[in-house]
Amino acid sequence: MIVCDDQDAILGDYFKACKEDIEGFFTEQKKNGFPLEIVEIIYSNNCHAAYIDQQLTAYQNQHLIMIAYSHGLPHALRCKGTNYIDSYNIYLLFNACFYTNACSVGATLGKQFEGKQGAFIGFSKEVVAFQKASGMMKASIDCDNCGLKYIFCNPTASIQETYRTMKAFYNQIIDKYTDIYDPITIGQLLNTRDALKIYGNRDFTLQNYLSKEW
Amino acid sequence: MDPNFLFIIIDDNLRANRPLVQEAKQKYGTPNVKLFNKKRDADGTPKQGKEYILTNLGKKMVVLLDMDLGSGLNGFDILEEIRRKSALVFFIFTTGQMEKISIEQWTDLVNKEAIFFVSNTADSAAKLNFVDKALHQIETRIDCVLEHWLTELDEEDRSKPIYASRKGQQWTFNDILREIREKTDEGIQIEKNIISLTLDLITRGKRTINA
Repeated sequence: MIVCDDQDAILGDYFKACKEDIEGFFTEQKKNGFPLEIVEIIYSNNCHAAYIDQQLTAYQNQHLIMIAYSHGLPHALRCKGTNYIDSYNIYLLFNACFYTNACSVGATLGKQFEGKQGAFIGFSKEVVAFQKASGMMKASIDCDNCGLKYIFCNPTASIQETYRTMKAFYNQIIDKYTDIYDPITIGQLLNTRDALKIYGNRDFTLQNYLSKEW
Repeated sequence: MDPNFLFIIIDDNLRANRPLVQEAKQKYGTPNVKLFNKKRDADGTPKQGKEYILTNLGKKMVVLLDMDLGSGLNGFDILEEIRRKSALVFFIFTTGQMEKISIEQWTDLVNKEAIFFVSNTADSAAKLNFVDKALHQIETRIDCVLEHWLTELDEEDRSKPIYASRKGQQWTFNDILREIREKTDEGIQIEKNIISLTLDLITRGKRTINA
């Protein structure tokens, strides 16, 4: 399931580009025989707690990877100025893999995955998304989605391993662009790398998850 | 001398022919030294000096500022007005009456980062020594280096949105310049990022420090 705040005034295009990038990747994966179905893409119009609760409840006993491209605060994922996932409904994801590029969610909400079967990957502080004029938008999207792609290309890899791989990918991008772009831009990328956090079941692997029966 | 450096003296009674002004022009270059006093031998009045600073914030500036300017204007007012726009102008305060500065005024001066204090009676070499120290800080402090780099960019490049926080705030280089000058949380975070980046590149062996 993918949440995409495509109508956000400032970052709507960026969130949409992230969603399109991962959709393209999933299409390729399906062609290669991976048993993957995007069950739903929730855009800004339906992105509110009532609808999200209903959908997450419907998929409670299935293997679910939840991806969220939207704004965030330490205690909530946000769309159109309201919370759509917060402490009241986060329990619906405790058995899932929850991957988000939102700001700060790892600081409070993501920590609630500790001790649960599922896993959280996201950022623990304010991070930025690069816009077209920076020349770094594509690199920013690649960084945002690199963990997801690694999970699907390496189903036996644990979340802990995915986390290390994501950090290494950020380093590759930092090293590649340090001589090309200004230190303010690259400094923000480093800040994003350092904000990356995982919580919950560090041994979570896609293969084990898919073999789990409910 | 760096053509972007300005040494500005605001002192109502200091004449252009005094040793301090002459030695400063010799040391830093005549175009880099500006004198503002109440006489007719200067670049303008103290009030015009304040305006001059505000219109040249992109340059590396050290200001030797007399506290007692008379006629309703004093050094405290100038410092306060400049600090609302930039934390990166370096002030050396001078006065003939240090003992008359109150505790509250001292507190205010320290909090607004007036970096050096020198007596009016100190000789010009001693005063210029403080200017050199301030200039060294301008050239090595990361906020000053960043400010200089940002002001060198074309206005068109500075006004393009570069990135947005995923909390919903958009930034151009002009916005970043303002954050650095005003020492906001965002400006301080940008400085921290650059220090972290430098250390990260060195510790991962991607860069070395040239001796």
